Amino acid sequence: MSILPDNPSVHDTTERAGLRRAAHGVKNVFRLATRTGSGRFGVATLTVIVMVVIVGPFLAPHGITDVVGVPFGSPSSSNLLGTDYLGRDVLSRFLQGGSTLIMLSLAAPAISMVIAAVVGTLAGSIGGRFDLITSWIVDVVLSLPSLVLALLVLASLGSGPGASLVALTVVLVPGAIRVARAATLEAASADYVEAALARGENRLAVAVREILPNTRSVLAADFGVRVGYAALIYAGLSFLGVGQPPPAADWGLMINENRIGLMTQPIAVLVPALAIALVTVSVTAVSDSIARSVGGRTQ
Amino acid sequence: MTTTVALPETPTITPGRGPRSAPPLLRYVLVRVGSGVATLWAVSVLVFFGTNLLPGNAAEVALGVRAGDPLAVEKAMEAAGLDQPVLVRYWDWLTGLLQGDLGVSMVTQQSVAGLMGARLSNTLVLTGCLLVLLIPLALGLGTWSAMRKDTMVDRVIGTGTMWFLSTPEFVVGTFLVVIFSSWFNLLPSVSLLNPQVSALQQADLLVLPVLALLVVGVGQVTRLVRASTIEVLQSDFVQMAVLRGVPTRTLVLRHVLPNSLGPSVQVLGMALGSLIGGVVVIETVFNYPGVGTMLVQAVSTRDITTVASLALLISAAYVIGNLLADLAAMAMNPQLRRGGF
Repeated sequence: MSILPDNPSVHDTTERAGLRRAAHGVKNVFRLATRTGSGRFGVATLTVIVMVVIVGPFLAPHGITDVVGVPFGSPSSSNLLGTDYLGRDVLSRFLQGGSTLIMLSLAAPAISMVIAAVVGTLAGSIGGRFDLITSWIVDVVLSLPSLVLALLVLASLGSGPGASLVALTVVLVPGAIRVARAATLEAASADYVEAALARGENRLAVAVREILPNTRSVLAADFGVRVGYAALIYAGLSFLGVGQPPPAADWGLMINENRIGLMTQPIAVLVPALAIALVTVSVTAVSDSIARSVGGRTQ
Repeated sequence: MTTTVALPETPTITPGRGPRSAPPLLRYVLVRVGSGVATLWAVSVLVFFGTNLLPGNAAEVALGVRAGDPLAVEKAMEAAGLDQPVLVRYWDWLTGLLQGDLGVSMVTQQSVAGLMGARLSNTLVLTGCLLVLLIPLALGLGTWSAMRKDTMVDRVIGTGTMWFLSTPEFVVGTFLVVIFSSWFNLLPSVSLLNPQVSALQQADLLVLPVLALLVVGVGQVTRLVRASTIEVLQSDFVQMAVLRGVPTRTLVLRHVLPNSLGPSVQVLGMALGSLIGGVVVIETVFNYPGVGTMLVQAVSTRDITTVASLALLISAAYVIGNLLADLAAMAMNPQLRRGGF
């Protein structure tokens, strides 16, 4: 039940204020991201890559499964980047092969952040047995190497974008919970939290009203780092051939499929490899730039 | 005066000697080893139940096409012991593992330990070569970068390591193959080891995989070493030594390194997780016959028993590596050695 009167003008202002705040947030992040040289490089490269991923499917001259020539054919006027191991057009598959990487690299950290915000805040503010058990599970899951954990999940669920999303989330969540919990504990030591508790307010209400708004920026910074992890891990899974089953067009899988022809048709491998490296390096450059700008400001 | 650490709280105790300093040290080691064993057990539970309780009955997956035949499924489950209660299966699996029995592959019906053969030692050789080169290189670069904080050297190392650590290993490996195998024809593009000879004697096959891992690994570890070295540089005793005019060489060897080595080894233990992931990927890039390629193959054929055993083996290596790193850090830290933590 809303405490606001059912008055459209009031709704309008709050909505607009929300939008303004969001726009301000985006502008802020952009300013922090472009403060260093490598950050500017990262933002520019990511913009180009996201454009390619969005517009690419409309520009692709062939379908991803169309056989248009001989296997490992060299670049020609009809196949600008040559053909792959089955004689499919490399350019077409490249233009349509980046969406899974980009989408999973955003979706998995977003889901992880929501889970971590709930579980981490609860663990940090309730404490007691729930906190102990949560922290212990987090420690245990973190004692598996990330890639091995992701492979375990994929061995149980099979490959595909859905299974990859689950695998990435399982890998990202424990660290995110640890960060959220630590931020909660730090925010909980503030005077106004103690004051709220002393007033006899419900612990959960205090967690939502007083603590969560103060851990939001920590969680947001952590999100940036986790986008980088997700991109690196999914690229690895996809390269290992367990991210998506063929005949999907996927940059990592393209490298895996075409590397037997590396000597005759290197372009089929190098173009997706370069694209993946640009994504992972740019994301890291951006999140590093944000972290350094924030760090520099608080010092 | 050459004391390199802050004074302990109880200066009357002789460092590292005497009956009064032994118990805290022993207690620390016991607690750390105990928690390592507990973690290993918990990981075994996670791996086993994660692979055995999730959807997709292992026997049906292994049977593939014949999965429609309920009698065949039942027979296969009986053969694999899958008709037993899950706790019994867990117990058999765990006790088997402790005796070196890694179970039977769901797909090939052969023993996993037999299939592994020389792969374990091949992977250990690869990882060993990596660490032997990585540790001094990252330590040197990290310390240098920290000593020259905010100068050109630091910025170049900082940017370089960031680029390297965020490039996937398989991209680095692929570019190395293109440069050294395709263009210059210097080194082999695949590492098909001769099983008759030790991997160490086939060094030309090791160069590119190790180099690819090194590029990414140095990126990660150098940054961690730099961070822990900067912390040491900011401590009072180093500031004092600088003010006393101690020459840089002495400062690094006598004051900085002895104190930064411990934390650096500890962060190396943490970086081991992603180094292991890198080894798995790089083995695939070079078709290197190791545990990593075997794991990836088992995942693609959904050979659950092999995946579970190998995953636990690799995770155990990670947990034990971390344990050793912690103990080594403790041995290197004069304050911890005295039990003054």
